[in-house]
Amino acid sequence: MTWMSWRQVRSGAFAAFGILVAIVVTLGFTGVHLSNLYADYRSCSGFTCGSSFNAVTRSYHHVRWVGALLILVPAFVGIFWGAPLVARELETGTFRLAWAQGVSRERWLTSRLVVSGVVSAVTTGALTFAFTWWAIPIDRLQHNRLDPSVFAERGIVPVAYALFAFALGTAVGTVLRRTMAAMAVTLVGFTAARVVTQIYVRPHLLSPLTKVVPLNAQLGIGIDRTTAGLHLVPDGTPKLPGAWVTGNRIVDSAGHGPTTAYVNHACQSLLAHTPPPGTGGPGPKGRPIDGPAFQAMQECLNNLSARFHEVVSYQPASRFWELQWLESAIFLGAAALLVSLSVFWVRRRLV
Amino acid sequence: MSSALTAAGLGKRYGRKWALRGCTVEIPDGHVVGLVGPNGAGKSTLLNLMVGLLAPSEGSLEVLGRRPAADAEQLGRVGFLAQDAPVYGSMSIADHLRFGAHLNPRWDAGFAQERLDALDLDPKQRAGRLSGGQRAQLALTMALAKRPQLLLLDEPVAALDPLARRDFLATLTSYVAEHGISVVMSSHLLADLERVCDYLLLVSAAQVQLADEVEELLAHHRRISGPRRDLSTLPADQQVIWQSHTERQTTAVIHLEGAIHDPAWQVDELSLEDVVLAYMGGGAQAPPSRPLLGVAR
Repeated sequence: MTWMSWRQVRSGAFAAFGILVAIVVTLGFTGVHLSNLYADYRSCSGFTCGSSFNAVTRSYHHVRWVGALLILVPAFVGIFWGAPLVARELETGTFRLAWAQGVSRERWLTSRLVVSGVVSAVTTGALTFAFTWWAIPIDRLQHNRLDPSVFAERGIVPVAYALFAFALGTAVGTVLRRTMAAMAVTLVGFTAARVVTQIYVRPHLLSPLTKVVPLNAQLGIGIDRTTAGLHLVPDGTPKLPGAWVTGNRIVDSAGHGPTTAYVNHACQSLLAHTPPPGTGGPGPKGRPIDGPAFQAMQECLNNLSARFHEVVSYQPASRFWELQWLESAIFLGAAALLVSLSVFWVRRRLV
Repeated sequence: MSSALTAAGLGKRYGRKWALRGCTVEIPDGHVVGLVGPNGAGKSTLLNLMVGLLAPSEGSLEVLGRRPAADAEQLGRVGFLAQDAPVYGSMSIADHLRFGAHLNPRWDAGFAQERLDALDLDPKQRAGRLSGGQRAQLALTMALAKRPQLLLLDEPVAALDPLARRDFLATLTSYVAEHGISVVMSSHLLADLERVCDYLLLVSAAQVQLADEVEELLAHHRRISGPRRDLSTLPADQQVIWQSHTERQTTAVIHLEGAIHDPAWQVDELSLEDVVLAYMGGGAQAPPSRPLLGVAR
C-alpha cells in the first residue's frame, strides 16, 4: 500500500522537491555571503558599522521572498495534496477500485495520509529550516522574530501549519466529495485559522508580561483632537528589544483610563491651541506642532502623568521558541482531530 | 454447499428513498448469476453492498459466509468490477498491476501478464488513454488476478461495442470454466446473460422478484394463449405472472409446477428474456394480437 500511496503523490512530490532544491541552493550560496557580511559587521568599528549593518539587513531583498513563499506553502499543501486525497477518488469513482482490493479502507487511508503527510512535512520543514538558517544574521540585527510577519516564517510553526492544512484539506474533501469545492474551503478555512490564531490566540498563549512606564512625549503618546475635545492615544512602544507588544493602555492607579473631560481639563492650553477638526489651524491630523503648542503639549503630559501612567503588555524575545512550540502544538492537535474525522468519515459515513 | 450470497430482510436507504428493501435471498456457491432489472431497481446497490462499499440500512447480508469487507481477507476473496470500470487515468497499465500486486496477498502476476499479452496491451500505456473496452479488460484483469472466490461485475459490458463485449464475455466464461468461481453480473443485455448465466436474480422496484436457476425458470414458466377466459379458474399450481386480454383471446405467462392438461390452451416455451420481461411487467413477446390490457403482477 505504501508504494501505491507514494505513486499517487509522486509527480507532485518530485515537482515540489525540484523547486525546493533550487531554493535551498540559492539560500545556501547567498546565506554564506550573508553570514560573511554579518561577520564584517561584528568586527566593524566606528562609522563603518552603519554601512555594515545595512549591508546585512538590506542585502538580498529578492531572496526574502522565500519568506513570503513560506507563508503560502502550507496553504498549497492543503489545497493540492490534502483536498484531492480522498475527494478525487470519490469524484472519479476510483475509490470503487481502491476499496475493493485486499486492503481495508482504514489501512488504505492511513497509508495515504502518512505518505502524503510525510512528503508535506519534509518539504515544508526543509524549506523552513533553510530559510531560518539563512535569516539568522538579519534576525540578530533586526531582533524582531516575534513580529507576526516574521514569526510565521521561522522555526517549526510552518511545518505545523502545513500538516494542519493537509489534514483540513483531506477532511473537507472527504466530507464534501468535490475536489474543487474542497480546495476553496480549505484555502478559506486555513487562512481563517491562521488569522484568528495570530490575532486572538497567540498573544494569550503565555500570559503577557507588563511594564509600567510614565507618560512621556518621547515614548510617542499621541493626542487626538476630536470635536468632543482631546483624546489620548498610546501609540508608542518603550524600549523592549525584540519584544512583541500586544497591548498598550493609559490608566491611573485604579486601572481607569482618562476621560475626554479630564484630558480637556488637564490640557486647557493645548485645547486652546488646537481648533476642532475641520476648522483649520495647526495641530490635528498628524501635523507637527511647534512653539506655543509644543509647550502646551509638554504641560499637558506633565499634568496627566501626575495621575496616569502607561501599561505595556508584551511577550519578551526570549519566549520565541516557547511560543513556537505552543502554537505548533495547537495546530498539530487540530490536525489530529481532523485526521480522526477523515478516518471516521471514510469508515462509517462513506458507506 | 456453502452460499455465495445470503441476505435476510436486506435494505438500503438513501435519504428517505429505499434503493433496496426486504431483500431475502440465498444463492448457492458456484453459479454464474445474472442480475437483471430496470434502471434504478437496486442492482448496483446490491453489488456495492456485497463488496462492502455500502453498508446495509437494515437486515443482514453475508457474502461467502461472512460480512462484506469485514477485513482484508474477506476483501481479497471478492473481486469487483465497478460500473464504468474506473481506473487511475494518470497511471500506466503496469502501475495498475503493481497496485493490485501490492494490495492483494494472493495476486497472480503471471496470469495478469498473460492476459495483457493476449489483449495486446502495452504495459507502459496510461490507463486514461485506453478505450472503454480496453479499460474494462484492464479492470477485469485486476479483478481476476486477485484470485477471487466470488466475482462481482456491475454492468461490465454496457459501454462496450459488440466485438469488445464478445471478447470480454469470452474471457470471463473461460476463466469461470477453468476456476469454478462464483460470479454475479448485472446487465441490461438479456441475450448476453442468457449465454453465460445459469442463475437469475431479478430485482425490480427495490425488491427481489425472482431468484432461481435458469433451467428451473425455463422449466417452470410457459406462455399460454387461447379463447378469452377468466384466469382465476386456473389450477392452484399455476400462477399468473402476466396477462393480456383482447375481446376474444387471452394470453398469459404463468409459473407452473406440473403440466398443463387443459386442451384449450396453446402452450409455448419461453426464452429467459421472455420470463424476465414478464416479471418486469412488459409481457412476453409476440402475442398473436395486440394486447389491449397489460396487467403487471
